[in-house]
Parts: sequence; C-alpha cells; structure tokens
Amino acid sequence: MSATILVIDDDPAMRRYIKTALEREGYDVLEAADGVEGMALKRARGVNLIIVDIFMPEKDGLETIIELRAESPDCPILAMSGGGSMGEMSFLDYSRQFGARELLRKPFKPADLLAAVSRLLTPGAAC
Amino acid sequence: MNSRDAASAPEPSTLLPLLLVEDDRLSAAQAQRLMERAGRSVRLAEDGAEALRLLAAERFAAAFLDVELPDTDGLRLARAFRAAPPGATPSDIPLFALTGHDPQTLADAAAAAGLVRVLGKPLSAEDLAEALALLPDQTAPRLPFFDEADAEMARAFAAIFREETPRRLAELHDAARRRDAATMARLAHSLKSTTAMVSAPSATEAALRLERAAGAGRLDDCPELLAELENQLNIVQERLTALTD
Repeated sequence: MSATILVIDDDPAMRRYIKTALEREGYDVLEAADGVEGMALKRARGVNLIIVDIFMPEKDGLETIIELRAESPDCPILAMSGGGSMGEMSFLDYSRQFGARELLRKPFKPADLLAAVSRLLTPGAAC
Repeated sequence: MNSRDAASAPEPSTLLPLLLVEDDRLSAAQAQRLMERAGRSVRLAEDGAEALRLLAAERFAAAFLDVELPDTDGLRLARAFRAAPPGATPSDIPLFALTGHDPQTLADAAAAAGLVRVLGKPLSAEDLAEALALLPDQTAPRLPFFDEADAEMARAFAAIFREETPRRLAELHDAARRRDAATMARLAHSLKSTTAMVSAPSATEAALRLERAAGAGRLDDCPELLAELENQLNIVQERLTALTD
C-alpha cells in the first residue's frame, strides 16, 4: 500500500534509519527535525501516518502529539523513545493516553517498525 | 528452531566458543551442557580474574557471567571487561548475567553495566536460545538486529551510522567547549539510540554515562566521558567498515 509517512525526530541518523526501512517497503517518507517543522509539513503536504520521537528540543513529542490530535483526530501516530535517564520512558507509555496508537522503543528491529506501521495504516488513514 | 534454521546452523567448530563464568560446579555443568547441546563450545572460568585472563587471551562469541563470584560480581566484572584495553575478545561482545534471584530486579543495574540481558538460574534452554539468537553471526559480519535476508538494510544502517556519527561527535565537542550541558545531554541521548540501532553496546553505555553526567550538570566529568564515548564510537566505526566496504 502506498502511503506518505512523516518522521519527526531531531536525530538525522535515526530519521535516515527509519526512512531507509520504510522506503524499501515502498512508502513515501517526509522528514522533520522537530515538532514545529513536523506540524508545518503535515499541514502543507498531508500524510497518512506520523512517527514521532518523544524527546526533542523545541517542541517535544508529547506536545506535538497533543497538537496533532486536536488538528487531526484520526491521524495514526506511532510514538518512539530511547528511554534512559531523562525520564521520558514513562512518557512513552503516557503518550498512548494522548493518542499515540503504537509505541516503539529504541533500539528496534526494522521488522518491528514495519509491523507497527502496517497495523496503523488502515484504509483511509489520513492526518 | 524451525527446520530452515536447523539446516543452516553452522558446525560448532566454525563458531567462536562461549565463556561461562560460574564458580558453582553444578550450575556450571548444567549451563555448559545446555550450551553444548545448542551446538556451542564452552570455556569455563571459576572466578573474575580467570575470566579476564581468558577474555584477553582468546576470542569468544559471548560471555555469561554469574552475578555472585568468589572474587567479584558479574556486573563489576562486566564493567572491568568493557574498560579493559583491547584484548583477543572485542570489549563490546555481548555479555549476559546469570542470577539465582529474580532477573527482573537486576535488569536496570545490568543494563547500566552494559549487559545485554539477565538470565535466571538454572539456565533454561529457552532463555539460552533467545540469548544466542541475539549474537552476531560470526560466519559473516552483520548486525544482530537484522535477519539474514536483511543484509542489505544492515549495510545501509551501517553506512548511515558512519556518515552521521562524525557530525554528532563534532557537535558534542562544540557543546563541551561551550560547557553547554543541555546540548551535550541531548546529543548523547541521540547517540545512545543510534549506536543501539547498530548493536554497539559499549558505545551505547558510554553515551548513557555522558547523558547522565551532562543531564545532572556534572560538567567536570564530561570531558573524560566524552573521550571514552569517542573511543567507543571509533571502535564501532571500524567494525562497521567491514559491513559497508
């Protein structure tokens, strides 16, 4: 299924890992380095699914998810986090309450990413 | 294990041995039997000093460290090995802890010590199989996270890591010069994930240490931790060269 996926993560290597895995499956991928850029891209281009890192400078992942939910209630959101000492691990679980439908812990296998994406990409999924 | 795995399992002689560090003879015999039944050869060390000597002198695929040893404990041994000068066994090989207590209670401390996973004692065939499945395939350089069919993606990830890491490192040095703890914590946090994605536990651990120090504002600890992280990143870069070239 062809779909456009927006990846919001401040780390370029992580965005490229994800983009590489998704493009190989035939998805179109847009990248944003933070929530502000991500929201602007979503409005400008329209996407079918959003993958968002929880821990980012500028606008963090939870804030982005809340804003996304308000603007696009049906948008499938996949939240991810590396966890660790900054306490955002609990935020990853918490992000589900704000509307993230799938959670992915870094590091993840490309196969797990693709499985989560295909679970979220139901027909008509749009943001 | 399905029939395809069984058919393609390499002969034991082509695989590097496992190091089992266990002072209790019964536990050692039981674990060794399981490992051998899984097609692996095993070298046994009865204490930490013997383990460090073997790791420096011989090459192993992984080490299984009992948490309670006569002269040290498995977590301290793991840290000592990660910090050891390069020996015959690369210092970022997968290390596993073995404990007679609830493995869950040790999980955080073990992760901080750079251990891949804590396994309960007596070791079960299932836990061992899962642990062995995490090991890199020594017949060809590849990343443990990828199936054999994914060699192409493993190469792509390795190339991305090799391209992006020098930039992150330069940013880290820049932040260190400015004594910008928040930026250092953020960059170290990123490296923790990107190194984990290419299965480089020693580098991930070094990134975690720097993230914690910078996050806590311990700026005086950062230069040494950054130097250690850089050292570990260089080791990973070198290892990944085999995948991308």
